[in-house]
Amino acid sequence: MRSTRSAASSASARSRFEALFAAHHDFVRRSALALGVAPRFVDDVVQDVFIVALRRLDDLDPAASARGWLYGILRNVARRAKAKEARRPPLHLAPTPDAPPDEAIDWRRAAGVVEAFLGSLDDDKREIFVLCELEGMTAPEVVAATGIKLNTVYSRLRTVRALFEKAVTREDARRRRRAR
Amino acid sequence: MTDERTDYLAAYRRSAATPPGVREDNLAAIYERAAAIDEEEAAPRTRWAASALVLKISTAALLTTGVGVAVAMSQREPTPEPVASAAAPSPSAPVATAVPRPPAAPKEVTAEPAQPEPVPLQAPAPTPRARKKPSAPQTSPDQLEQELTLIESAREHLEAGRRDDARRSLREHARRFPAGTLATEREAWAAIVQCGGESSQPRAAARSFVLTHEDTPLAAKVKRACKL
Repeated sequence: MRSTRSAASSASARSRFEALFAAHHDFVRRSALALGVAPRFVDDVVQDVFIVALRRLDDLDPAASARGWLYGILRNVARRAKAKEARRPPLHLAPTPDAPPDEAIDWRRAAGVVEAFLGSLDDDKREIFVLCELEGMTAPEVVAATGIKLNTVYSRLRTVRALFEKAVTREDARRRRRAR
Repeated sequence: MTDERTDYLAAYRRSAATPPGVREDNLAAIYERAAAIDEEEAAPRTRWAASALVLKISTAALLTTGVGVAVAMSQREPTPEPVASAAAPSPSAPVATAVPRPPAAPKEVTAEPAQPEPVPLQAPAPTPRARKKPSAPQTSPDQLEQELTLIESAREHLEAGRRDDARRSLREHARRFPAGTLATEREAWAAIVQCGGESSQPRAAARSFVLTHEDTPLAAKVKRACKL
């Protein structure tokens, strides 16, 4: 029986789970946000993902990508969470306390550009942008995690890169106009 | 990729970084919630055992009286009782069906098609048919996900003020997973749904839930929601 009890009963299973959690918690949380999960639900989503992971720990092939496996779970959980809000509220971006004011404004602006760009993509393209560009996954890793065909991954990747390039160029032009 | 685009992505990663303490809080919450799920998995076994004991005692008591005999005999009459007629004849069947039903039960059964009963939010009481599965419920990850979907859907509806839709989701869960892993979650949400409803005794379910699940996080949630 694949239950939490059986999976977590042994110390080795627990340490295995905690290693997985420590290594990939931030990836899952960041990806959930980037996929459009509202910030106020994001930690619920992270917990749901790891509860499923804990219960299915025996399914994780040591030779496979743990990130890809977790992403497969996140995909389903995030879909439900996203249904909670058709429109995503903006991220509350806070500058780090030690950042000088100008720098803080700059990185917040840059993060806002990416945020807006993510919001402009449909789910399919956003997924590829998050996995390949933000998280640095390879195309075969994306295939293993999502089941999308390799050619489709490459095709969407080309599209989102071009769109992102345009978004950045547009933002730079706007910034230059404001500076004049 | 140009440096500039890399900078944009780095800025985004920085903005989406996990705040201090959140990781630890999430790990603690995961273990707490997983333990609650484990308890829920174990609970049906306890409930079944208790039900079986009550059933045996009730059976013995009733069969020593005329009422018990009369009820048992009435069950043998060819009435369209779906459980008794569908089940393969077994020595225990008449006794088991006789006990939970009052003497008038056969009449209710025949009248049943005329007025469809609403699906109860509570899991149906254990019936002889349900007891055909003697082993403890085994929750597959897929089932857990389906259960989560329904409970989450109820919560979403409730948050959006769609009380009837929330009830519908909970009924659907009760119908599909009467003794599911999240059955207690369902009962908690059902109690919370009732708290704000128009029922004459909106808090009865909440009080009952709190009493039967004392000292659990869910009971605390129900207490808060229903201001008990």
